[in-house]
Amino acid sequence: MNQPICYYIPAHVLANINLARAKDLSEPGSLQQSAKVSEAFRQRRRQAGTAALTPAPPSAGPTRVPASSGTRSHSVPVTRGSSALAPAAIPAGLTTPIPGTHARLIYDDQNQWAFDLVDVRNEDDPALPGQNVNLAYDALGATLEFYREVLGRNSIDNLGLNLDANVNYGVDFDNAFWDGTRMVFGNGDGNIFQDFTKDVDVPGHELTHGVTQFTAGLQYSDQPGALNEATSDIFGACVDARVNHQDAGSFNWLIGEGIMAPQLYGEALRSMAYPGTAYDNSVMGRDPQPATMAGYVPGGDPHVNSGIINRWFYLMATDLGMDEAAKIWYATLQNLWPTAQFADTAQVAAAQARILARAGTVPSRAPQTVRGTAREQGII
Amino acid sequence: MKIQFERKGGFAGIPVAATIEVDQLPQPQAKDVHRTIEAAGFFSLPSNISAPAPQPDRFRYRVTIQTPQQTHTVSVDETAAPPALRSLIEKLSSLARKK
Repeated sequence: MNQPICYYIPAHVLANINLARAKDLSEPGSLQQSAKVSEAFRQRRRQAGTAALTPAPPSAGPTRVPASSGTRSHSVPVTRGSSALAPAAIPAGLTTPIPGTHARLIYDDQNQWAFDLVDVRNEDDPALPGQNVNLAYDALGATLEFYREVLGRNSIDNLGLNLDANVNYGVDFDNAFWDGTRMVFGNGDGNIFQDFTKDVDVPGHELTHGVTQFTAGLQYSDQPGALNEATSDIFGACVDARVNHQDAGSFNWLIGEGIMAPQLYGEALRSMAYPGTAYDNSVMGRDPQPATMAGYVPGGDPHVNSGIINRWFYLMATDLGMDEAAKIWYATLQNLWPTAQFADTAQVAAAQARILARAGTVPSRAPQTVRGTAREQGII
Repeated sequence: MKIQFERKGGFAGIPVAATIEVDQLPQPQAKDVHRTIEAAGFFSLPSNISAPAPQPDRFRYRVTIQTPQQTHTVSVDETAAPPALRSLIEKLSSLARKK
């Protein structure tokens, strides 16, 4: 998504306008609506390009049409994707997903530093022998299911955006990311990390960056950056807990524990309940996250100060329930803006909690819980 | 030749820092490193190569190369690295991991 470079109206005035609107409305702002349309349009354009590479089925013989998505393509030469905007043609035997149907497309980058190289499994296709493709497929499905069932959101853009995921990207790559168009998983180096598909909170976290891109558009620095990072941990954790049938009391509130290499078993990347305690060992060093505003690091990496917001959500979820807290957070996200600060978020969240309480969606004490936990965290 | 390699960011947010003494590497490997540095035009690169908007969970690298003649530092966002610099970073990442 393109970020505007220059605002005619100064940022602080826009922020005040946004804040005033956010406290009164429960609908997403119009700026957020237009962002979704752009990405959906770009995806349709890309997928129209792919469909053009698939020849028409031969006149002899049956064409199998799976129940939920498009026709099976017939033999096409597999061409390598040369850029992010021109994925390879759908290989023989795989479903051809229709744009806007929240379908999954999994690609194997074969340890190259390139995207969308070989399409190996699409929506409704059977599992493959290679494990990480299926983990990615299942994790994307779990994330979509959480967004649909708990938050009423139709894929990342709320318009059924199909989900592109890449596994085996690069060599010993210690990372996973959402690049604006696709979800990418590395294999890990084997020393600190295993394959990044091994913990469902990783794709939950990364795909949520997509949701944030289409809603609040929180800038990736300072407090907006920490809010952006925390939002990804928050909904990543919600997906993880849901998959494991856990609630706020039984969930471990850890991020990334599933991708730690065997020698680091028991460590995790982040703790939402106790920021700063996720890891402490000679290989990784010590978890630097602050737990409250008292430890806020000015100019800190978004992954550091996100601890303050993570614990705030943990406290709200522990009081109100995980789904209830998730709904408050989602309503809040839809009413934030790119430069929103922690204190703005607390005001918007309390206002949205009142709206949801009036609708009977969350307990009537929710607004006070939002404010009280924000105050405990030093945010207000 | 001494190389200081640093990486920040990523999903894990765990920083990496390593010093690579190129002259102490096996000869073929040292030559390969020299070649990759030259192909990247490292000493002519700007000291800051940033993406227009930082992408979440991506890496940011800082590479300092020191020879008897010169020292140069390049800070670069993963998404903004030109291909030849990207190759150098991959090579240095791999060497840093082995330490």
